[in-house]
Amino acid sequence: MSATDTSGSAKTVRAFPEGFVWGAATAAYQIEGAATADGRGPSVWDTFSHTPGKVRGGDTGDIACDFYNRSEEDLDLMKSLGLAAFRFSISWSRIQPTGSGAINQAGIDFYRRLVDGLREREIAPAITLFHWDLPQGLEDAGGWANRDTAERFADYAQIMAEAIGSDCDDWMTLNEPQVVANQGYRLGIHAPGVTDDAIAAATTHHLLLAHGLATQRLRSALPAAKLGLALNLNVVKAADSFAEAAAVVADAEQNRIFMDPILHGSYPAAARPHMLPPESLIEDGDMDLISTPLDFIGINYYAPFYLKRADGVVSTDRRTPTGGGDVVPFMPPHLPTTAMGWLIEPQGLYEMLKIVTSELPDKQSGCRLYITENGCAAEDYVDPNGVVNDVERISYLKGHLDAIWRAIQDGVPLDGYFQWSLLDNFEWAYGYQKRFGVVFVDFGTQKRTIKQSARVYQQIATTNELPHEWAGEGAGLIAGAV
Amino acid sequence: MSVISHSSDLMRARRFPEGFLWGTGTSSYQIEGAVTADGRGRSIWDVYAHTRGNVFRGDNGDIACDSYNRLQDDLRIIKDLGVGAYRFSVAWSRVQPTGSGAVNQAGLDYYRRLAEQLRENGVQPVVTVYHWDLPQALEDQGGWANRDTAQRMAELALILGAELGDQVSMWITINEPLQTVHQGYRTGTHAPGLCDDALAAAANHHILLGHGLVLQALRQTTGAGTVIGPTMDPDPYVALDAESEAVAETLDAEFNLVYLDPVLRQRYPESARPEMLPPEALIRDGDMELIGAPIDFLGVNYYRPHHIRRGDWSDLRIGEEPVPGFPGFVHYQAPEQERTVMDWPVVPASLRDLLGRLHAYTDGLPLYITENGCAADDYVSPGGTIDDYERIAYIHGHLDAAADAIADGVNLAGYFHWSLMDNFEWSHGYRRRFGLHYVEFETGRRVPKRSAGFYGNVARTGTLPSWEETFPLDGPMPSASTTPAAV
Repeated sequence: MSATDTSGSAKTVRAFPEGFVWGAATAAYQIEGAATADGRGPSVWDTFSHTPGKVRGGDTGDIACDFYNRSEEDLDLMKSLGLAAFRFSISWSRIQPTGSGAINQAGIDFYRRLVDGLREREIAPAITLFHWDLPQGLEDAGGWANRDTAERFADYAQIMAEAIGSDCDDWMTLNEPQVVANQGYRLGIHAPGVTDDAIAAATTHHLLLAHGLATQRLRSALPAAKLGLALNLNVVKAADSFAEAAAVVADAEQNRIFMDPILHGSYPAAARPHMLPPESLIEDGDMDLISTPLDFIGINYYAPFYLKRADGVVSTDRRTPTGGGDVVPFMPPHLPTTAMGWLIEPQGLYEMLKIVTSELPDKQSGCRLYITENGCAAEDYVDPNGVVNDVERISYLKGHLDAIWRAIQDGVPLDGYFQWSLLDNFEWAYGYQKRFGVVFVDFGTQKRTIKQSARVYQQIATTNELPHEWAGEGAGLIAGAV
Repeated sequence: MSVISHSSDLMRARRFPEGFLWGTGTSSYQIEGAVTADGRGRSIWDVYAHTRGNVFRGDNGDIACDSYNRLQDDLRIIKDLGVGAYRFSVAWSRVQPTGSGAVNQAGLDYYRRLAEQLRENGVQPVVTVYHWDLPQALEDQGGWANRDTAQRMAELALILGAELGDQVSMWITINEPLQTVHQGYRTGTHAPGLCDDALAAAANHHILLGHGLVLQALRQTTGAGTVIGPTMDPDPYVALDAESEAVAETLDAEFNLVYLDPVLRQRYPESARPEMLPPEALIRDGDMELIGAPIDFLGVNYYRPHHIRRGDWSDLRIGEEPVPGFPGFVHYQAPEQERTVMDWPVVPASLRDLLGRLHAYTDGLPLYITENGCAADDYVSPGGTIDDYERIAYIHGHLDAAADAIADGVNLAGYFHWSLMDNFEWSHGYRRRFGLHYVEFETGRRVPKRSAGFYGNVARTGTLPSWEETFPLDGPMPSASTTPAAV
């Protein structure tokens, strides 16, 4: 693992910098429910989840965690868990039911109350403006393939900036635009379910443009706010030398296709041409707008992505670009996996933090980093004693918090960590089957049960240091967590 | 769309024979809880589960589904389900807390009440005498490695036959002796957690001897019309290339025939390696005749096949795992193979093949599928339903295969779905849900899953609806497109 020695004595204190932000994250469509309440318009995820065969079991977000009607008690829950910050997203179609035009005041009021409720409890709000639930009215006009959607997004950002104002310091324009373009428009396994490379490529550029335009508006309306976005970055590794060239391509197509325009104002040359927006879509000034300086880059990290020579094994996983050639995604047998089947390798987070730090250009001097999502699905259940003893999640947390602690020691400008997620919730195409929360949700009754991992996280958030009992075990996962 | 293979066309409904027995099953340690109530003694599973590191998340069966205290709840869901039979096992240490000697009447009464009330509700009780929860006191004297344990089990059977014989007309002597021997004594992944080939080989002989003695004891204490048999779990071993056929045959001998041949041929298979067989010294005169005494049926638990092919242990391909003891050969699961959350391949056609083979092997003895089912990631949806389409697909595929076997001429007399309800899944604790009913373990509440409605309807009508009727094209499918790429 890292050169950093982590094998201190049991008395080693591994503290985080003063003011380090310990938060939890959610997204509107995954938790809110109340899909038709108070004038909310349909989003692409309402349409998609109500289409047979798209989501496991026919689940929808109609009810989800019913957060819209239970936010007060959930705010109390956050307070009881010692969270310093709460990352949530705004349901655009609550604010503008068709994505443009008149404001739905009831929608504004909900988020206003939420922000007020957080501040009353001394929990810092961190707002994501777009976490995948595009108003269906805009999708009907071409969605992200339509350049105009970026303009509509900027208008919506302006509305939110004025409504919330300086009561929120941290703003994110987009969450994981790569997933929107790839899963939503190329593979069709997320809303809106389109499978078209050209549309996906156009979407890529317009999402970035939307980020640039919205950042401009937010900066103007809220000069003191900290602005950024959340990128899903998977460290890509070649398991053999044959796969190295493909790994460069995959890294370009999965990570750099959004990171490079933001940081450097250019698309990665290593990506295959059909993955990139055609020149004709890129107007003068677009790339400058897209690379406008930010206050932070949010990193969502879950798993590394390994590639190896196929050797006659035909991969069935066409869902993830591999960079082509005779190379397939690979699961190194020595790495454990989560209930999603995702590899667990905390060192990948360390490496990704170092990569992003090293690539921050002068133009972005002063730009900080957040982990805006990190967590795991586990096969959770309330046991006969009423306890959710999610030791695998505690182990995952231990490994990854150890990695970010080491990264900070090694100079990474990391200011905070948001656990994904506060609550078990609607996990997109997996429906309610995959539980990522540190709080268990019994969806039939909406009862919340605090998992053991939340207790561990509470201790870390409260003390701002890693548990002493984690010291001396090295950087690895907890042995015997099974 | 699921990739479960179907041998028949998607439009065809299947009608099962008149009198086909539809049931569901459980076992004592997995559901009862109440581990110290009314004089129950400790079993090896109490000790094993309470030993750190043995069970997922440190779970144990102390409470489980609390069935000991919820007999009425269980009866209600069994009755509502609509099955004709319910298979349960007896916790030996409730009846004889130390595995021998005086009867603990309170423990016995629980099973008496259960059997009586099942019958009052029109459900046939089917009793498994031994489903893995050996009294710890017997383990302390050597457990199944000790020949005397078989004699002790015969005493238990005499007690049960005398007490329940008027209520119970179908008995299963032992459940899956392979798992007791292999996981309990060879790999240590089940109670009592031992890893000793010699002990395992001895346990192999003694648990089969226990079967023979239980059979004898039940014959003595129960009336005419009572049917008695063992339950085995002969997983098919399928060679994917010609070079692997000998390995698959050896594995079949060591995992399957080593239990089947003594019962049905009065001998151990020659094709097993010597270290996998009980030594001659343990086999006394008359043992094989006792073990091989006539049975009335063979119970078959089927979940999955195993696929074997050549493979380089130092350079494993995706989906390969070494076959222990056979360098150059691997277990293989194709990446596109549909699997349950246990990572078991879903191959209904393999059940048809197995039943055909056993029909020939037993010369037409009645066969019962005493277990078949799947674990799934079940959850209560915001609408309050448990929409376990994966389980419905699994049941559909396997009943379709069972219907094919019957059409082939197999003497298949019944099917017991595993399980009535979610329960303590051995070393997996409570994470792996096999039930037709969802159990909220904190409260003990049982909620029928969608599969309970589906299976109950099959049981009541004796008819498996077509795939198309089960999964209309405009309705939810067993699995949706999902992605491993990001949250």
